[in-house]
Amino acid sequence: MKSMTDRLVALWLAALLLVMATTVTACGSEESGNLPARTTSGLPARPDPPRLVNDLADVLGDTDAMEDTLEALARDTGNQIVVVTVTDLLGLDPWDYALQLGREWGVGQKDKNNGVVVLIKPKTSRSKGRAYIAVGYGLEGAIPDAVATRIVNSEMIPHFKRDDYHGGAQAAIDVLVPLARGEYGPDAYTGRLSAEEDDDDVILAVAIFLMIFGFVMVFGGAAMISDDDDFRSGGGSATWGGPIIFGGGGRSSSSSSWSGGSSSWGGGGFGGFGGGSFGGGGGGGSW
Amino acid sequence: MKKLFIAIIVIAVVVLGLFSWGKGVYNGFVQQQESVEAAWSQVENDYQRRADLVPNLVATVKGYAEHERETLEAVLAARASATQIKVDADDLTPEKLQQFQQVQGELGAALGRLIAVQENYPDLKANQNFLQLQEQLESTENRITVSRRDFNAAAQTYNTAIRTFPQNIFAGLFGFERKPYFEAAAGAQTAPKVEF
Repeated sequence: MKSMTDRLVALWLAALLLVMATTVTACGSEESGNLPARTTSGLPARPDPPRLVNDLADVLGDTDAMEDTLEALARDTGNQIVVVTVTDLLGLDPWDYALQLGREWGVGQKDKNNGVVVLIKPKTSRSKGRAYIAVGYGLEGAIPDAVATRIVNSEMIPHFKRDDYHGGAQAAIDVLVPLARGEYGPDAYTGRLSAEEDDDDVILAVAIFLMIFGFVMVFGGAAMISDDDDFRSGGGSATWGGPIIFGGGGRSSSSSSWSGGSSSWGGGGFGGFGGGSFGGGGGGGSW
Repeated sequence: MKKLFIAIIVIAVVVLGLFSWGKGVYNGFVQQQESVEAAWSQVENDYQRRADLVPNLVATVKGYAEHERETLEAVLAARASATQIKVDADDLTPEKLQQFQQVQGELGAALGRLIAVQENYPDLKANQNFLQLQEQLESTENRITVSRRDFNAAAQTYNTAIRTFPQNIFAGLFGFERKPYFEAAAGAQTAPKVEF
């Protein structure tokens, strides 16, 4: 009789423990499961195997070189730049689409949020072309909004207008990669752009000068013919040294230093997205 | 004697079980509360970022559009009242959030009118500085949209947790209160949204 009650008690105890254990684990999984379980409908799925250039609209042509450049950047610095082309923005603003895609895929490292999404929606007969560069929290210093806007409008859209999507994407990468590597700062980039604008001014000034010069030559030359050949011999322009080119170190190939080959990348290629987040930084444009 | 022993063990196990369960639940609440507070401070940061743009924007517009005194003053007044209201994350009552949202909404509307002024002033519209400020304002509004959305998501996770049985017993016991949500401004939600 006594052993019977003992057994009953033991049984009851075991049941109680079981219930408790399941409750506790259920609570635990609920806590941790709630946050990442949010899924977006309609956004393209994260590429598997992971890739940094995702030409979903099929406009970029051969992307192997871009992929290599971006993979090298991810390996060396951890900064992940993703290029995505899509045909449909699902009714979202480009910035919102790029942000949600970046979050969904987890572009950038989780603790650094150092991801960038370059979103390209090609122009069609019915809709404008749109491009947006979304910058993760961690890279907002290296790539401020104004710079992202400039890159889209000055580097990418001129190519896109000529239907050269590959060239536009490449041009963006050519600027974003050194910025993300810290090879030059955002001010240097905007400075370079305005220097180019100044260059235009210089060219204009030279053209005007040459026109006046030519004018003088033609009209003044007649008057000088009677003189010696002084004029001609002086105009040899042998001292012209050619344009001085600044900042040639944009992509010195020596930067592919394999600093201590991080093993997590599993034999070359891109190892995967890290769960970085975005906060609405970036800039874009349309054409 | 043996019965008593068993009873003690049973009670001890029950108490221990309850304790560890309660501890897990409580810590979960704390963690979620932390993420709500972090989301809130991001919201405040982004609104502050917008407020910081106002003086420059007003100064730039002023140079081109002297006659828009009323619009300019409205923006400055809205900024002043918006920056006055600070809400602590641990003191987020629905009333306070609504008040916060209202003054910020007024600043947003005043800024909208200020930006619209450019249509009457071609020189202003072409001004490089103005264009840049306008861009910055736009991306700041984007940030605000994102941080508000994130705040609502964090608040929802937390609210769901504290109101789910049986954890809600603990929530009541330790004074975990429901967090309010940002509400979409009227007419702001016209575009179809992908929901998280």
